[in-house]
Amino acid sequence: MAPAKDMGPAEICEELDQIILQLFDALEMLQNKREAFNSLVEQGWFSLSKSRYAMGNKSVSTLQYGHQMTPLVRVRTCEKEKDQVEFDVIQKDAPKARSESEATVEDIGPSEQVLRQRKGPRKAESSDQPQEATSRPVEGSGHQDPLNWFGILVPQSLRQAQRTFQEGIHLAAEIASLQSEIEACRRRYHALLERKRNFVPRESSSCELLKPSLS
Amino acid sequence: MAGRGKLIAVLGDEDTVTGFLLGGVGELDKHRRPNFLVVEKETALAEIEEAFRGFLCRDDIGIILINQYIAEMIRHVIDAHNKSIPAVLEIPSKEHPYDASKDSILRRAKGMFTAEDLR
Repeated sequence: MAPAKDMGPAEICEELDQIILQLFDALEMLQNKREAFNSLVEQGWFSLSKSRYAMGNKSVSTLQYGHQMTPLVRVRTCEKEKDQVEFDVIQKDAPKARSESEATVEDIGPSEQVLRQRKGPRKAESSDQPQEATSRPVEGSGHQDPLNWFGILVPQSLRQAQRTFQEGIHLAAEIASLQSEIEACRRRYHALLERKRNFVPRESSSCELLKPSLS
Repeated sequence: MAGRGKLIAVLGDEDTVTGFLLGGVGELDKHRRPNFLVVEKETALAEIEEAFRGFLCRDDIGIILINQYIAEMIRHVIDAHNKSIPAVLEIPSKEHPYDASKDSILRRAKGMFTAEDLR
């Protein structure tokens, strides 16, 4: 892209055409992403309703929200061009549910080894147990999975709803980036149009510019 | 704060907010200030507008998700917002499907090609 100050009228017109093409590409992508996002959100509501049916009407509501909330998802913003921002989703470290399941897998191993060494000294066994007990609270102090607000054994539909909304969040970030691109295109277009008007004599420009709008 | 990324705020009906909080966007900061608002039938318009303006002012919020029918109630505030961050995304709700002709961003894009803009 040439700097706007050095442009002649023909270059400005070409640049305007380029911006329009870029804008329509962005609009088309936005429409596709929007459709995908809307269907994901609909799917999420459907899963939430199924969970309500399974758990009871009042079991999935605002009353169950946790007293402490730490975001597992954030967005990183970086400015690509002037006034054009790109949003990237940052997923935080694994929620508590996964670390628990990993811990249970690890617990099985040592306990089997202890059984094999039954004749061994008792002290080793007793010293292992407090170690496990102290390690658990450390794991629990991490991010809490929002699924746990609604119970420990939540239905599959609620897990499905969570996955769907997580996908939705990724799409939302892409949509936000596209919206920012469209806004940046719009600003550039207006700035260039203003420059074009200054170049082209008033009467000829008004004739040229009004033609497409009148037809 | 900037190194950790920004938050996603949600302003919507119960199911929309619950869904996105389940997805992991929720935060209660040390002052117990939430980054979401559940709009119910009895929620006052002033409260919605105040919450939305609050989200706009916070520098730790990158995207605001808002149900389109709620956005319609505070359209003047959304139209007046012309900064890139936070980005405002209008999303459908259970009772109100998404209508592109109401979306602020698309209306502005459409406005590029009117006779008024080409004067």
